[in-house]
Amino acid sequence: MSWVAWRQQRLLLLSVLGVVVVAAGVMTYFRLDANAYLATNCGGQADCSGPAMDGFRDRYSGYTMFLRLAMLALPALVGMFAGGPLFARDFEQRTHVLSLTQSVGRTRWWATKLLVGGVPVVVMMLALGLVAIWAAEPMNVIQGVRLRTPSFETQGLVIGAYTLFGLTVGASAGLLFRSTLAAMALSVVLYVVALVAVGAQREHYLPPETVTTAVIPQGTTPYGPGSSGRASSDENIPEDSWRLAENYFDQHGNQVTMPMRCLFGEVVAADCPQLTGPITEVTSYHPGIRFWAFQSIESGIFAVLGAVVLALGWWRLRRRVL
Amino acid sequence: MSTTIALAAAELGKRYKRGWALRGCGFELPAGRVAALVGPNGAGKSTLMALATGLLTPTTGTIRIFGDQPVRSGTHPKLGFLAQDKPLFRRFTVAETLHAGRALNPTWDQAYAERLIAEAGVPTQARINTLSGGQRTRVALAVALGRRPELLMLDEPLADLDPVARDEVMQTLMAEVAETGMTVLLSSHVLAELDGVCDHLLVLAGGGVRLSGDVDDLLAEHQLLIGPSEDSAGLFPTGSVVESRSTGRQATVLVRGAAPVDRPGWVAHEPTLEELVKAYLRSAGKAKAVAEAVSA
Repeated sequence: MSWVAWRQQRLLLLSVLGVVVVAAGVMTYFRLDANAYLATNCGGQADCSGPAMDGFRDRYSGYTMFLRLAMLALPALVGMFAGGPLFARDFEQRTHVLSLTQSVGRTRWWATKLLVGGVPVVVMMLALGLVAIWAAEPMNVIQGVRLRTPSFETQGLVIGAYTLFGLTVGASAGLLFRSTLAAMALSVVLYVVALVAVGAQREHYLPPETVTTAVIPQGTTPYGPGSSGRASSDENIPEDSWRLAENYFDQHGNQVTMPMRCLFGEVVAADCPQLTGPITEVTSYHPGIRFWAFQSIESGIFAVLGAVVLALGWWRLRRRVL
Repeated sequence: MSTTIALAAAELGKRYKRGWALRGCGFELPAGRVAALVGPNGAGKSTLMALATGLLTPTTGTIRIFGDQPVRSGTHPKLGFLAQDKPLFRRFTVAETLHAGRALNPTWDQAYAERLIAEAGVPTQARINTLSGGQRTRVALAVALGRRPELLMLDEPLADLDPVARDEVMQTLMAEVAETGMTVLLSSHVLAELDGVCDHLLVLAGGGVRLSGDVDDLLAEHQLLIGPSEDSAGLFPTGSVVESRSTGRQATVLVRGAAPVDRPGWVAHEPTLEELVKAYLRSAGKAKAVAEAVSA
């Protein structure tokens, strides 16, 4: 059975390999190119200020934008093309009748096709995601915080997990609807829905770190005209952190709301909390070092979703094949 | 001496969402027979075969292949099946198709399958989607026979073939039957193709078995009588008339098991296979029409 599955998926697997190799090659080229630029113009530093860094941004911002688009689209496309036709094409060409009237049971047929047609694809995309992390290192200055959209979704373990999800949706939809087109369409739609829905929950994966970033003295506005600016403690937050929110507390430790006009007004308005006493600003954030933890959690979520979708397809197959 | 039963059904029924495709089906097909499975479209022929392969599970009753019920881990090793549309992997070459047969079956006779391909004159490096309908059927037949089945089921194997290809496929099939002694269940609606080939008959209509048995026995049991139409009513014992038709002044009556009618103006003779089957199918069709009219 595994030979038949390989022969059926051969063209697709080789195509995915080709795409992954080309993409990894392009990324490697740009990493080398960026490092060479920094060595020449920045004395080898990852971040230098001035015209050299402006030149760096000009040179690579187009590439990083294109790369993000490509890496967002690639798991959807690969999952769709690898998963959609996996079973649906068999049903459309009725070759499932040929396979299942030999000495192969339906569960083995299903499992073998998934393993042979799915696992290499996911592994290749996972590898591409890891290459993307490595290749993006010099460009992180441009890319921004790695924990945030779209940097987070366009590199790392999640590339493999997204592909896995799209593939399982395509495969199971193929078992349900027996149409390649429907399976591929559903694969893309559910990929986008899941990406948005799961992404919205990302900040809750771990409880955020908090740090006091400012104290607003009684009766002052920190950013208003003529004010001296707040006593900033931003250096307490690492630069690669994902800042979530600023929260304000009065001297008794109760959280208060801080309207914009109280921060930026010319004079302190009548309803501003700092009229009653000094207000402490506490910033919550996820430190950049959590990148791998967040990648693992998000990948785990997509793997579980994929397993649920697979179970649904298997249940369908147990009930009906013809 | 007890004969081996290749395929047996008892109270077999299959219900789809739209209704019953087969209901209360019972028959036995002894080993070594070449059986014709005939019936109009929608009679349940394909459903019956799918139940035997295990692609479908019965709603009621059982179907047994050499005494065994179908299991989930693949089709019974003694059963070979050629589906109506002869599904093959379109992008595979003929050689790869045989390789697939070998990969999917522990009991695979590669030399035999290769011989069948060679006899068919199909180039082994040709892709399936470049083959003609006749060639494709020969390849599908080689895959079905490569498992070395003792019971071969073919669903409308000749339906989409030209007359020359039909003869070739039928000749190949009969040659292999003669050589191996395997049992064959062949469905078709072209009765002329089956006459002289089949020695067993299974008539399916409206989801049930109408007639089943040895062809010679069945033909001998029936009489086709032709006589004046005004005289036909009440002439035959009730229950013995399979079908009675009148065209103008002449009546044609198919009778099962009745003593010869000896009346002036009536001629009796043994029906042909085609006459026999058509009479049963027509009477089943009328019964269905009456039932629908009553329920409507």
